[in-house]
Amino acid sequence: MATTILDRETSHIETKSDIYRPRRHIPWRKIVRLAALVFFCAFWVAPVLWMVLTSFKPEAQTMVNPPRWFPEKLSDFTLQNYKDVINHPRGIDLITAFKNSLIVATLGALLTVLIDVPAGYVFARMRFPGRNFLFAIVIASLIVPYEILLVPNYIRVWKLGWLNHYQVMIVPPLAGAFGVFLMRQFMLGIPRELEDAAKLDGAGHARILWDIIIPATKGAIAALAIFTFIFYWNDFTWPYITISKANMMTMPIALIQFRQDFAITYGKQMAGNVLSALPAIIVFLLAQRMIIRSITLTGIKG
Amino acid sequence: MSTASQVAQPVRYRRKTLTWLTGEQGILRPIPFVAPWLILFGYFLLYPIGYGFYISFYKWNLLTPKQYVGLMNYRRLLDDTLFQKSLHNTLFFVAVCAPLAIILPLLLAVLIDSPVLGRTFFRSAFTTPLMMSVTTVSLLWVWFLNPVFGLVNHYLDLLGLPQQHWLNQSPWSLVAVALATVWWTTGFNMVIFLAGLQEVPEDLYDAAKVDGAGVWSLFWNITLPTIRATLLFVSATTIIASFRVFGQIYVMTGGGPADASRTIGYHIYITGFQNFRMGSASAVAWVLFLLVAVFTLIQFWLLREQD
Repeated sequence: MATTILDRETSHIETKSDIYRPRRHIPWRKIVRLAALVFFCAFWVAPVLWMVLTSFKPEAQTMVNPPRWFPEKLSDFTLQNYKDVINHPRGIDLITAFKNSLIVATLGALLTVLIDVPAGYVFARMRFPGRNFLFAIVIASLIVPYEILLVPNYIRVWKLGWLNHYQVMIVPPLAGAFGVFLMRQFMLGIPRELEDAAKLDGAGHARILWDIIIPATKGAIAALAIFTFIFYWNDFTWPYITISKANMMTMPIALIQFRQDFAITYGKQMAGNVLSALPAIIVFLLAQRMIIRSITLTGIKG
Repeated sequence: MSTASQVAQPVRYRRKTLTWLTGEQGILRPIPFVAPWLILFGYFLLYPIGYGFYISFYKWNLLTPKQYVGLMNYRRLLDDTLFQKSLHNTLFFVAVCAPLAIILPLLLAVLIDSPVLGRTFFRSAFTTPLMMSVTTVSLLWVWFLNPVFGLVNHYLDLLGLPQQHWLNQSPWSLVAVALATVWWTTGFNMVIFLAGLQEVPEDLYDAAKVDGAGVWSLFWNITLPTIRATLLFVSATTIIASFRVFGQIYVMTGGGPADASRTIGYHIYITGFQNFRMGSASAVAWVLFLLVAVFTLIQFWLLREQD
């Protein structure tokens, strides 16, 4: 998927602008395009910039009317909000929440890969009675809104005694069929010829999966892991319902409490906000191509 | 799919009666691979769907034994004003949010899908909000929209437009949540549109340009028909997601002012997890599911027509 996009990008540049169009011509169309992009981009960047700049302002300068982007003097920029938020928590300890998020997201991503890769292989490569029926159920489950699962699953984890434990945030989301579907789609794209030689040598499914399929889908598996990590990092509704102990909260739900701890001190609120957004954004910027590829693949199912 | 390998499969005779169980293509083979996921799928997804439906016929607060009430939970919705207000608000939210969240990403994808300076930067700028949690996005927008110290009102004022008490005023609280939602999710749809645009045949463009077709004509006659399937997919998923809005509402407005931004998702949360009326909450969730299912079916129907 990504390779075709990239190929097209480069071929685009050579054919359209350089060969077909006379060079001296002023490229009005391009200028209009660029201007439009800059215009829209401003709307997308402004809120983030506002959040980041606020978090570095001294608290006395955050609430001013009319609002200002920068503090009065550039030397007023300070790390004080971050220090306060980290060292002097008023209720919620963001470091604990950060640690919880890290545990939940890492374990969630690892387990998802461990469970979904072999399951995806089954639907991509194995033939057994009832496979199509089972796969139809998998597809159908993708359109079920999680709202209808909230009440029954809450009752279930309550009876299991899982409320306020890590497993309540990690395990139920593993049941989702999205990763299985994603892995199947990627594995279907691998040419079967690769496996034929191994089959002649008498390799079983486990061997084929381990020696051929997994190395060939490394990129996709990494994409699934990153995707799932970000899902767990940002998951809100389910943890919010099942976690009420402050020391078990993940970042997105801790921030709700945190907001009340630091009500009307927006510099500190935004510092906490930046801290919570940072890891997911860093992962994203490092692995942008992979994530975009997996988003793309979700769109192919139509 | 793979006729070659199907042909290559050796013909098997039913020598053993248990082939379906233990044979090469028997049902036991996939079990070690698929069992861990299948058990979870059954336990936390398939079974709860049925259990949730079952609960919707009961009155249950989790503390006292549950009590069978038949269709009561559903019938009561007909004259539950809070539910009707939620339904009304949800439809309003979908009407504001979904068109923007479909058209804007399409426009941005078309703009980015051409050799333009700083493509990668623009793509990152539009997709970065996706990586933030709903709480982060909401708190950020609450501050951005602050009526006195926020930037939005400041610039509205500079432009000579009326300032709003965004989150404390009746239609505007829902509009504000819709704006934040569009800002948050545009990158996702944009990336899917970008993938769809790769399928537009380049030579068709060139031929049309030789014939002197303008930008609009190219878009209407070539781009749009080619990405029809993508457009349908994005429209359906976006409309469904808008129907289900909860987190943004909860953090930004708390359903307020005076239930003016109470949506069905919010109504389910309050009914189930604040008032502990599990049966009632399940019933509303099933109504939401039916609403969503209608849109999914329309999508499938439209796609089938094309094949």
